[in-house]
Amino acid sequence: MTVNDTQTTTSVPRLAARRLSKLYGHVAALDDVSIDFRPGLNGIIGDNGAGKSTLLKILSGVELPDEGAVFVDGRPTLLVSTRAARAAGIESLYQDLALVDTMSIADNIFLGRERIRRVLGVPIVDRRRMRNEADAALREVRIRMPSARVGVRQLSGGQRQAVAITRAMLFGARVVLLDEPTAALGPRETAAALRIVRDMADRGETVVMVGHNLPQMLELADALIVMRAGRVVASVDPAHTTLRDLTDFMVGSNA
Amino acid sequence: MGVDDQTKIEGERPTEDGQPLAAARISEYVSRIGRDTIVALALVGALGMLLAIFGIASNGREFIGANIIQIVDSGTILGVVAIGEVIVMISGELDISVGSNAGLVTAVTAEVVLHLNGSVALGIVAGLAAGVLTGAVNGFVVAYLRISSVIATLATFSAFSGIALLLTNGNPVGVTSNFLASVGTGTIASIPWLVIILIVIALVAVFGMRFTLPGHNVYAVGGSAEAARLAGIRVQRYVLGVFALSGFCAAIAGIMLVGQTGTAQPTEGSVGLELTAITAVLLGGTGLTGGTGTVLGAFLGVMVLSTLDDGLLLIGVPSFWQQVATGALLLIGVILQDVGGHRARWRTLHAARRRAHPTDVPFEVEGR
Repeated sequence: MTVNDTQTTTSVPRLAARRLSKLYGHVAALDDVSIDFRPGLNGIIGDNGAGKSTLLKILSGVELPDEGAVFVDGRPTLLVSTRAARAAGIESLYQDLALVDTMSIADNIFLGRERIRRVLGVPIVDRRRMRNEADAALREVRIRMPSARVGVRQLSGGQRQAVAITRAMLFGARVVLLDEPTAALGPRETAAALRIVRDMADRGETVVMVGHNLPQMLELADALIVMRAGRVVASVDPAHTTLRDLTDFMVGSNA
Repeated sequence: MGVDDQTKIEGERPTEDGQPLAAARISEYVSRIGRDTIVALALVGALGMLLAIFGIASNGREFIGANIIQIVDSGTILGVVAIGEVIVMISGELDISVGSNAGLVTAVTAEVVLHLNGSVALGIVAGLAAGVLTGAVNGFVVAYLRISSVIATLATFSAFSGIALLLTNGNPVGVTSNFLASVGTGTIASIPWLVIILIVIALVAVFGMRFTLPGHNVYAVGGSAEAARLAGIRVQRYVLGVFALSGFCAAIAGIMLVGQTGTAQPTEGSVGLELTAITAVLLGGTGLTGGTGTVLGAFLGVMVLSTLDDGLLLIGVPSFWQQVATGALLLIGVILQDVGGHRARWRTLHAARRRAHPTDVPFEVEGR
């Protein structure tokens, strides 16, 4: 991404959903949803069944919408697979983090995008380079971490989270999607993981985070979207919103 | 909840003195030298011990020396099959059909040679093609029809033997070929050709699995197919590929068998290979769950099994005992490989019990 890009995209949202609808059987999981996601931390909240996960699945290329389109930097982009979403600069962190337990930290960070040397045309995995780059990137997330050659199986929940986030950052993702990144973490690890997320947003990444913890989201997010029954019911500035407002939006008592 | 710059994730398992748990230290140490290296060294040690024991027991009757080549030689066909099998098992699947696939390949090769004016080249090509095709059928059923590989290859195990028997009417078919005979029984510089073939295949497989991107991806698929898929690895193609590769190895083994015996043996000498190959692979440190293990380990596993067989034969132990010994060896080997795991679990449990006593750690429920 060039400097010029970042300047011109301040008016065009990095990622935009336009009139997205998705039916599961007769249930409208998403109903005419349009959202702009700009650099910073975009929080999405809503009760179970509000459509948050479906929205995230569409943005990450896991599902295709029945109607509507996704725009990346103002261009309509067909996200037919997670691979296509990645190519468009959208990285997803899944709830279970999708790490390969039997592999090392470095291998996981570079999974699917290994550093390669070609010897007589044969692609050789450049493990030393992957380890060095992974170690350097892990230092940046400021989480105590063993050497990148250690197996992921031996990490705690928070460290696994850090590996997944590092993976997203290292590849210059323009948009990072997080589905309840702290759901499986203890209190201390939650704080550390949220700090990484906040750091990422402060660096100008566009972070989209689904969460259940309203006070946490209110404190952390730069913009908050409230969903209910497959629709966006509010798009608010957390600085001028109270917890009470949010719960009202979620249950629909002031809509 | 505050987002505090001072917050550190400390591995969640610090002991009171802030040191990481002993179990974590041990397993980090193991992962630094590499569990695979430890297993390989242990197997080499076991080989050395077996050679020494049999050497002494047979009063050094030329056991060491000339016999080492003979030991390798008696494990060549099994070795090639095991190399295909270990790659399948690293990918998290199992191929039960390799033995009967090898038998089918001998039948195809023999029939083609017999009916096409003794063209051995065509016979070999047809045999290899048959092996790859049957392997690909396995892979297709597992990867795209999503049938468990145990069930799929159990079915083809039966079907392939049936086809081999149909092709040959159940009779051994003689193959007269100087080329195949000299490959199957001949030597160069007193090293049998079959040994050279096995070594070449083993080296290519070790290199491919250890260093290349496709090998790396097979480990990823076996470790977690879901994570691999989400990372953009084309999991189904890899599954199809490893089964085709396993079929290719079975085909090489089948052709080696034809060379060695001069006949197509629809079931003799081939069916049963699959279980011995799986035994060797397990002995070599590869698990059933995928993502772990090495080709070198499988190779050494084959060598240990051949040494055991040859050695017991040499010192005159009845062959029934060989089977008992193989079984015992497999159990001991697999239990020893997991000692690290048992210890780590035991220590974790122990530490958890110690922590379970009331402490001042606040219990906090995540907001929901």
